Amino acid sequence: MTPTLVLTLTLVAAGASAALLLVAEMMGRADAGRKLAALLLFAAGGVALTAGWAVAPATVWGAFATGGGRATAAGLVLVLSAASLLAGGGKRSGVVSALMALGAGGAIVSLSSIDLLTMLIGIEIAAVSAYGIVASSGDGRADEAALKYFIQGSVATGFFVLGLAVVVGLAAPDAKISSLLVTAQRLPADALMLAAVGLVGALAFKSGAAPMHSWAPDAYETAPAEGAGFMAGSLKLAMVTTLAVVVSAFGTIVASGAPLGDRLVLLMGGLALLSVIIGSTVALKTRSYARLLGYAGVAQVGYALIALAASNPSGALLFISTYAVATTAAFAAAAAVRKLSPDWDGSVEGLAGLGRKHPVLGAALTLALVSLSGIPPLVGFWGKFQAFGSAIAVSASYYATSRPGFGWWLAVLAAAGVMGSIISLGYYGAIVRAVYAETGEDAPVNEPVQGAKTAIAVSAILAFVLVIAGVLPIFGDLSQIVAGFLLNLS
Amino acid sequence: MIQLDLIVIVPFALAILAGLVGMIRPSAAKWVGLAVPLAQGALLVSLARAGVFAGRTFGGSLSSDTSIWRLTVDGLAAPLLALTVVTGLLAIAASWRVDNRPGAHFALLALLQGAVAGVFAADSLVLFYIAWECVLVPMFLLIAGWGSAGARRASMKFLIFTFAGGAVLLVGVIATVVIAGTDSITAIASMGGVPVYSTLVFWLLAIGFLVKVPAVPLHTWLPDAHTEAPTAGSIVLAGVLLKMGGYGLIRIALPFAPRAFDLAAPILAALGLIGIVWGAATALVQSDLKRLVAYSSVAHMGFVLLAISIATPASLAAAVVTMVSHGLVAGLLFFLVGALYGRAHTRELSAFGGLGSVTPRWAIAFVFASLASAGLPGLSGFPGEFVTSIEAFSSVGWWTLVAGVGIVLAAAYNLRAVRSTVQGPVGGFESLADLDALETASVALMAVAIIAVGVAPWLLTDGATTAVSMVAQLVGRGV
Repeated sequence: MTPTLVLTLTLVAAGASAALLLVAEMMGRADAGRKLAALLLFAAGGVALTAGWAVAPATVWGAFATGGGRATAAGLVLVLSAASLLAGGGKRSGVVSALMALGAGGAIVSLSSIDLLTMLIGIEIAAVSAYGIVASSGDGRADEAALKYFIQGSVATGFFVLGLAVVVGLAAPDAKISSLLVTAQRLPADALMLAAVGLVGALAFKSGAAPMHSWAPDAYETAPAEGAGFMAGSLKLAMVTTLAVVVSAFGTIVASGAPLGDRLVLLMGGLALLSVIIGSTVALKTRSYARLLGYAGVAQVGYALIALAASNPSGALLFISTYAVATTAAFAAAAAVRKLSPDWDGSVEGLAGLGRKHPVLGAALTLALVSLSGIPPLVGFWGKFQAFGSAIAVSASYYATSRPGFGWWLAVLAAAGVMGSIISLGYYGAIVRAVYAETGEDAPVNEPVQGAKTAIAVSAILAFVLVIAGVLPIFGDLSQIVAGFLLNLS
Repeated sequence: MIQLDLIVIVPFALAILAGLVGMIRPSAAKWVGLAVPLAQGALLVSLARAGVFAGRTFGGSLSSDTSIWRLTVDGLAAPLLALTVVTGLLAIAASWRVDNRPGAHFALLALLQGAVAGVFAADSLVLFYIAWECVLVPMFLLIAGWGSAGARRASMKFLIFTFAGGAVLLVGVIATVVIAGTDSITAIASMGGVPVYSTLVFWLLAIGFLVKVPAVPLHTWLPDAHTEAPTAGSIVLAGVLLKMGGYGLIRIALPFAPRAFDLAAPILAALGLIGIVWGAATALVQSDLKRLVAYSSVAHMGFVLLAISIATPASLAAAVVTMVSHGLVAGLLFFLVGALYGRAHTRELSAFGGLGSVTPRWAIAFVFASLASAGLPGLSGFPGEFVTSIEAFSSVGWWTLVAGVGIVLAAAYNLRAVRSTVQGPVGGFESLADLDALETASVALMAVAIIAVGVAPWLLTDGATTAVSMVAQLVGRGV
């Protein structure tokens, strides 16, 4: 397996699936097309996941890199997109599925880029398909949410272009990430900071970090459940990975002596703190299932940003990967509920009695939520262990090097992360409680319809993955597992 | 030794089996549930034959240097593992007739058994924390799914309180690993604890443990959780979950930060004394029998905390004995209260009276358990609390009298419970079924254990001496 092969395979799989899904929709065979496309994405994703550990990071075609963490992230994007595809179905699902496959391709382009221009193209492909997914249900609320998302997204793109312009226009010979080093030596620190704020701000928006998060809950609520799962899982994973690449690129500049690092730590920490606080507190008061997961996702991005503030990009990637699997499972469960009871109003209370009528679905959803709150032995714990662990370690090293101000700042971030996890039990626990609540009337256990069975199976399989991946590090070597999440820059 | 690995792994495997069996034949799940403590017991017996109760230390067989799966067991952990087995049996007996989703019920009990064994057997600090938190969700689901009327609120309170404590513990664990550069509990203890920031590390760890113990004022989750939990849940909660806190203090917090402990000891002693009196006084005014037993747990665990704060070899051994005793006695009391509630459907003290003539076997068992809880010499409650009081004089001086007040109050609330249920004119229930054969056998098993610990506490302390002396020496209070 060569890096070129891995990247070609993943991109071709995503593009071919999108085309296949459109053709199948036109031929009226949307269901068969979806299964075939999911199989294709899953196979390519499996190969890329293996490559995460088996293939050493290397540059491909000058503008991309794969192997290591990038391949792992690409593989997860494809596998989780396949899971979301399978969980979907119903009216207009063919178009939504095609958009998801296309978006997965864009996501892989952006997270594999080592060139800021191709990165921007990937981000925009992913964003455009996300706008389409949000608008797909076609009613007034969907239009409004999609329009809001589109306008805000355009502003974010503008930020990215601004950052790009500063880097390329003022100093660097090209838009390569590695050229940032050249830029750093030619530019005053303030201009460099402007570039960093532009690029980081745009990607923070795409990742759904506060204070640029307000699109996410709206989008997840109005999109079909499987589309929301794709945006909250695969896309967020890709955007946080891209953010990690960009941040660590600026981090390398620090190593070369340019005075940017401290401000970057403050910037990432500030975004993290805001995200954790806003996401956690609003999620506590939210009663709509998808909105709740949206705000919870804001807090989760905050935890990833804590790892970035602690200069641990691979920790951020590992964390957001565990989040993406669990959140895809949670939205697959929502897709199943949609099919089991089409009149579900989307509220948390509306889930009452789910665990009694459909024990497998209830258990899968519970496992996903427990993993999201970071309780061991589920894999979400290891993500938080990496993220908060690196913050505490870096805090200690700041103290050791007599910079107590920064040591204090990292300690605050770790504490905020821990507090956020405690609060998360309040909202995730509310869902679990609703799932196992007694409904009062004894609803007859109706056989799940065909589509619901697939969605239930998808969430159950993902929940199983959460357990296995959580137990594995107990018996295995953690450092070898982390090796598959390392992000290289060249 | 492979037995040590299996004592943790087998319950998890059987939990999956119980869940599967429960889907196919619900009535058969209990047999899988029963197999869990029996298997753990058999494995522990084979460890005992190798000398673990005589103070020898063993490691697990599946351990490797690169994984966190590193286990060890010594004379300090062994008595608590034995307690886990015994209370596990009692919990199975108490839920033998559960007909509401028995597969899930016994699977959760099995998960608890495995996780608790993991806590007592872990040598890696990270594994310890994982096992510690593995207890959380099964217990939450057990309370929420099989508890009584107010269980939903109580289960949430339990979840959030103990997870908050656990989160502080996690920060402490990470900080310890970062500062010490290793996650081996034995290694950190033998290097004299963490080299810097010992006060910070101590309190991060200790707060996590104190929530679980629980120490007043961090105890408020306990009465609710106990009262609303199903009987089996209460038994496991009181029997072993609280002991994780005491064990953590002795095994981890003290040796990791000896100097910080030296400064903190008066605070811990004060918390212990407050717990003893507060728990006993609150128990005295309860009208709900199960709440009464719950508050008595706060008092007894106050003794454990007091004993740990003294940290001499004798007092630490006394802490172990008190923990085992409380596990047995509170487990038995919850079992009996649960049996009574299952028949009468009320736990109000005022509803009962004269049960001595209505249900004589239950009455005898309840009087026995209450006397053990009050600390009658010859029963298990006596040796630990007696030695603690003696040792306390050398450490906290006349403040020991506060503990004395607690002992008097313990006699008072236990006798009040006995008087209003067993004695007096026959109350609202003129005919109740007495304990059946299974229940009588379970009570007899517990009674044998309670008398054995009461008469021969050295069965526990002999093996623990090496371990606790080392801890005492590390904190500078050894002989």
